[in-house]
Parts: sequence; C-alpha cells; structure tokens
Amino acid sequence: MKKLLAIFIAVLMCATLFAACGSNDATQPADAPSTDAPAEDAAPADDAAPAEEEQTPAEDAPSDTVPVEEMTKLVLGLDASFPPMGFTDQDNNIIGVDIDLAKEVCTRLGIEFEAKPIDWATKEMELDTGKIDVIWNGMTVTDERKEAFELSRSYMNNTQVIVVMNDSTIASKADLADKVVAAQTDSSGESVLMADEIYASIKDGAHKQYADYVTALNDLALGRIDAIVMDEVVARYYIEQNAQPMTVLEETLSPEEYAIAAKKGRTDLIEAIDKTLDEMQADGTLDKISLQWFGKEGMILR
Amino acid sequence: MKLIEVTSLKKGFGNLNVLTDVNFEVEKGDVIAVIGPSGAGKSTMLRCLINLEKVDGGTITVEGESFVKDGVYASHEQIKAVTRKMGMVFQNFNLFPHLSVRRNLTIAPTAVFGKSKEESDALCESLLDKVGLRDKIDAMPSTLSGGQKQRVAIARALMLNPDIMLFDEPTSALDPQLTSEVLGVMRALAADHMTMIVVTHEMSFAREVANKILFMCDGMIVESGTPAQVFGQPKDRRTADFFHNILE
Amino acid sequence: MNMSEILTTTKALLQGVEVVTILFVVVLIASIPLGFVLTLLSRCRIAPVRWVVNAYIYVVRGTPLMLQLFFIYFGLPYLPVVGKMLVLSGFSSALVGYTLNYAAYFAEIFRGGLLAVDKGQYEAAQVLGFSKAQTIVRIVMPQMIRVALPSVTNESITLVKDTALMYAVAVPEILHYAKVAVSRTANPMAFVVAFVIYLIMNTILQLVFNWLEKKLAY
Repeated sequence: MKKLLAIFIAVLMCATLFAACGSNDATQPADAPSTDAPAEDAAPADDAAPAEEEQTPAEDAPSDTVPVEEMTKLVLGLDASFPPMGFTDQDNNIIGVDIDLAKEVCTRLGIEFEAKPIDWATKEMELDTGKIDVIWNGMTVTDERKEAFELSRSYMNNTQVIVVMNDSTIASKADLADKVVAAQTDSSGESVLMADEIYASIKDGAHKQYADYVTALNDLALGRIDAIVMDEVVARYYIEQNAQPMTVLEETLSPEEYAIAAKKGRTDLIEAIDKTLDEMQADGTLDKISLQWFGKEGMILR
Repeated sequence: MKLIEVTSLKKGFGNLNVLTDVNFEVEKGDVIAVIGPSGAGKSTMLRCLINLEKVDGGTITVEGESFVKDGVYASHEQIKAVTRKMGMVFQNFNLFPHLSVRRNLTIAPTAVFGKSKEESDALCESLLDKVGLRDKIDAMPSTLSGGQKQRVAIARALMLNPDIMLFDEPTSALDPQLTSEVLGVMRALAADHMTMIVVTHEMSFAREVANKILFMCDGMIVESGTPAQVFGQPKDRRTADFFHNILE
Repeated sequence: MNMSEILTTTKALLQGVEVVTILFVVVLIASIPLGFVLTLLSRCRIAPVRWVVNAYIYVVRGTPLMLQLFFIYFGLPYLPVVGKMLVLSGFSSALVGYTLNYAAYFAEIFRGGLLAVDKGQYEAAQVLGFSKAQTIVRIVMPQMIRVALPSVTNESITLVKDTALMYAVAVPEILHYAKVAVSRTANPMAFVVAFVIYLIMNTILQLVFNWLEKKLAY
C-alpha cells in the first residue's frame, strides 16, 4: 500500500513537470506562423525590415527575452571540440573561426561576448531556456533547423564528405555498401547519410553513431569503422593538422551551408548579427579571418 | 515505607496476555528474586516498572509517586522523575560500544544531568573499584569478557545513585564460570542494603541472597514469601512442578 | 606525444579538478546531513511525512542522475509561475542535483546503519535518562556512522566519478577538458591523463576515509 502510494506520487510529480514542459511545446506551433515567415525568406531578403523588430517573441518562453539593444552579453553555445570552427586550445581557451567571427560581431554591437561549451545533444534546451543566446558552431542549415530555430543567412559553404583511410577500397559513395559507416549523433552528416539511397545498403542497414568526430576518426584509424560522413571543413582541417593517412572522397553527399541559430522568435538578434556580418564582409574582415584559419580568402562568404 | 507498590498490572502483546494481574510490594532494603518458567512474564513485569514497556492497566507507585495509575500514564516529566529512582541492568549488558568504560559510566551524569567531570570521574573510579575493574577504566567494551561487561553495566547503573536496582536475568548471557563474579558484585550490593529486584534463573542466588521470592506463572504472581517458604513448602502446584522440573 | 605536451594537457585538465573538487566538497557536506534528516523523517510517526520521504528516495534512486540534472537545469524554468525564478546556472544546478541525489542514497545507507544499532542501546540510554535527541546524537549516531562509513566511502568515490556528468548541464570538468584536448591533438593521451587524475583523487579520498575508519573503530 505504502509502495503503491509512493509510485503514485512519483508519477504525479513527473507528470506535473512533463505537463509544464508539454504545454510550452504545445503552444509553440501556434506562435510559429508569425515568426516562421521571416525566417523562411531570410535568405533571399536583403536587409530585414525594421518593423519586424517590433514583434514580440514567444510569450511563454521560460526566460525573459531581452531585445538586442538592451543585451549586455551574447552567450554563444558550442560543442567546443569542433576544430577549426570552435574548439579548445591547450589552456582551455575556446578558439576558432566562429569565435573570431562572433567576437568581432559583439565588439561591433557593443556587447560582451561569452563562449559556453555545451553538450551538443542539449543545444535546443540550452537555447529554449535562455542559458545561451545563439548556437554558433559550424551548424549546418537543415529544414528541421529552419523550423526549430531562428537562423541567420549562411556564412560558409560546407559539404558533407566521406572520409576513408588512404588504403581503403572505398572510392565512391556506391562502395559504402556493406561497409561500417559512421557519423556524429544529431549532426547534419548523419541526416544526409540517412536520407541518401545508399543508406539501406550499408552494413547492418544502420550507421554507427559517435558523440564527437575525433572518436570516430580514431576508430577509423583503428579500423573499427570503414568510413565517416562529416563536414568537409572539419575533415580537411583534421587530416592536415594531424597528418593522418586519410582521404576525403571526391564524391560528396550534398552541399551544405553553415548558419547561426537563435531561439525561435529572436529575429532582432539574428538580424543584428546578419547585418554586422554583412558589414564585416564589406570591409574585408571576413576575408582576414578566412586567411587566418584556412590559409586563403573567400572561404567565409555571405 | 513501601518503596514500590504494584497493583493489578496488566499487559498484553496483541492477543497474548503476558501479564494478567500482577500485585506486589517492595520494602526498602528488600532483595527480591523473581523466578518462574520462561514466558511467565517476569522480564515484561520488570520492564514495565521502568517504563520500557507500556502497561495496559494497573498502578505503579515508587516512593509514593505513581507514574501510571489505573492504566493512565502521567506526564512525560513525571514518568522521567519517577523512573529515575531506579537503575536497570540488562541481560545483554547494553554497554555503549563506541565509548570507553569511563565514558560509559560518566556520559549520563555529565551529558544528561550536568554533573561536573571531576565529580563524575571520582564516582566512576570508586564504583569501578567496587566492581573490581578499576584497571579497565580506559578499556573499550569490546575488549572485556562477558562478566566484566556486566560488572561495568552494574557500575554504570549505580552512577545515577538509584534507590532501587532492577536486574533482568543479569547472568543468563554468561558462561557459567563468569556468572559468579557478577553474582559476587550483586551480593556485595545486597550487603550494602541496596533495594533490588532480580529476575533470575540462579536458584542458589535466589535462595541465599534474596529475602523475598516472587514466583510468577501465566502472567501473575502465584506465590510469594521468604526463600524458606517458597523453596521449602511451595503451596501452589505450579511452584512445586517448577522446582521439580529444574531438579530433573 | 612528448613530455611537454603531456604537461600542457595535464595543466589544462587540472582546471577541471578545481570545479570537481568544489562540487565534491559542497555536495558531500550538504548531502550527508540532508541524508540523515531524510533517514529520520522516513521513520517519522506522521505517516504522510514518511510517504513523501520514501517516495522521494524511491524516485531519486530509480531515475538516472543525468535526467535529474536535466530537470533542474532545463526543466525548472518551464514550471508555471515560479519557473522564471528557477533559472539556475549549470554549476548551481549541478550542486542542487547532486546534493538531492546523493542525499537519497545516504538516507538509505544511514537507514541500514540505524538498523544495525541494537534496540538495547536505546533502552540503556532511556533508563539512564537520555532524551530522544540525546540518544540519537550521543549513542545512535556514532554507532550508525561507524557502520555506514564503508558505504559512505563507496558513495564518495562514486561521486568523484559522477562529476563527469556535470558536462550535461554545460559545466566543463575533467573529462570534458580531456575530450577537447583529444579533439585538438587527435591523440588519446589526454584520456590517460584524466584516468590518472581521477585515480589520484580517489586514492587521496580513500586514504582519508581509511584514516577516519581507523579513528572511529572501537
């Protein structure tokens, strides 16, 4: 009897919490149409209409949303093990292409900058609860993400590529049949792989999931897996930096773009970032950062 | 003066009536041996006297003050004040294993009753002298033999200067060769005119030291009197049977 | 990987040691008394209090710590009305979450310790005039702690290792710094360094608890 009651209370407590979370999720789509529209045409649009800044963000947000003019600090969430976009140096400072870009944007907007390493799998919750303001981490634009976040216009082109060992027999995408193929959990590499027609024929009909690229690349070197589908930018940087006997196949899965994400409804913040990046492109700052990280200009392109 | 008066004591555990109707009196200086077959309610009766068990009915009066009257208990303070006049020695010693012999004796006077450390230490030493364990003052209980533990337990009960000492089968947990040292201490106490109620299976102790025997059976005192009367000419058949069984 | 690189990696990982140590000390200091209070409440005479405490222990022990951290860090802000006041930082969430979690485990350990204290001890204390509180503090607790200590040691070692979960609520700790070092250097040496650091921390912990156990022996 006592136990039964305990179970009941436990379920009740959980249910309350879930209900609270659920009601929030449930109201989200209702708000979506008003905020979705600008995000969808964000790419072709030139400069965002200032009127849109008047829009009130989702009211049931768990944290109070501060308009961009009143923000004192931009908290940037990232998986800090994603060289060269955002990673951690030997003194545990977070550095990378995205960090340099974001720092410059913040300087120009006159607000403080903070890079906060997060667990990539919890990025949506981090954004939604206001623990971070943006995800700025070489994040690939996908249809789902367009739905879920307020996205900036793309600032880099990226392609999902197939990485194999130099001595591998895999020379094209078709060779992946019956091979062990890996991707990072919840990454865009994972989604393009799963969407590709080759997916059904890979070994076990499913890919191997890794929490981060480095573990996957290590397992590739050790022969545990035969190929990895991942971002070209990261793959090339990694292979070159570490002089690994690995190859990026010519044949790619699909061209991709990187964008910055904010919480749905934070159009003002995304517009401010877009505008500042445009300015940085115009005055050559983007090329400077590109040269510094990739050894050539033009990699960071609006 | 009657030190203890017990009338119509009743006590049951669930459906089992352990004490059906217990009546007796204790005079100052009495050494009372409570004997009888197992399950007669001897220990339960003793535990009721010092409020380790709650009675269902009856009156217990100590030095003229009752802490339970017709089955109704007095206030918490009153119960404490009355039971304080009694010390208790358990079958299993119940020494505090984490405290030295000295602290076992002095913790109650100092920590509970606010006596000074010096006073308690002096009393502790003299009582340990009395039970012959002065040299064990800094020992931990786990290093003592059963007989030594029980002697420490007696000294501990005496620290609070009780008027009456209750002994609940004090030698039952001991090897036969260790019982004599404990009985020796109890004899010495009796010689000092300590009022004692002893639940025991030691018939020789009951016969030689006690001045009064209570024979309990089926939750009541079926026979009482001097050792000579009870042992010599038992009036009740159950008493006679009991002695008959022991002798066999 | 050469020696100087190992040293650099170690230095980076030691930054994680600080936050782990603070979490460990605060959680241990907070959860042990809280656990004991829960133990006492789980034996409370008022039935609903017992139910709530037992339900609490049941839920906390029956769900993963990481999920509990998520609830505190991400879930609380969604609560109606009070949610906005409950937006805790990752580290505060970790402090609260670990403390609540470990208190439940300690409560169970102490409950076992209490059961190991003989009934005769309570009776001896009562006839010597001890109040209930005095009995608990002076007689029962020292014996209970002695019985519970090996299990407390065990839980404490688990706590050191559980600190690796802090990264789930965005607090960088030893294992996180090891991961980022591995991703930077493409060499798993940082994991070996982390391995050694955890081992050293737990060695120190065990020495302390062994000393304590010897000191409390009787």
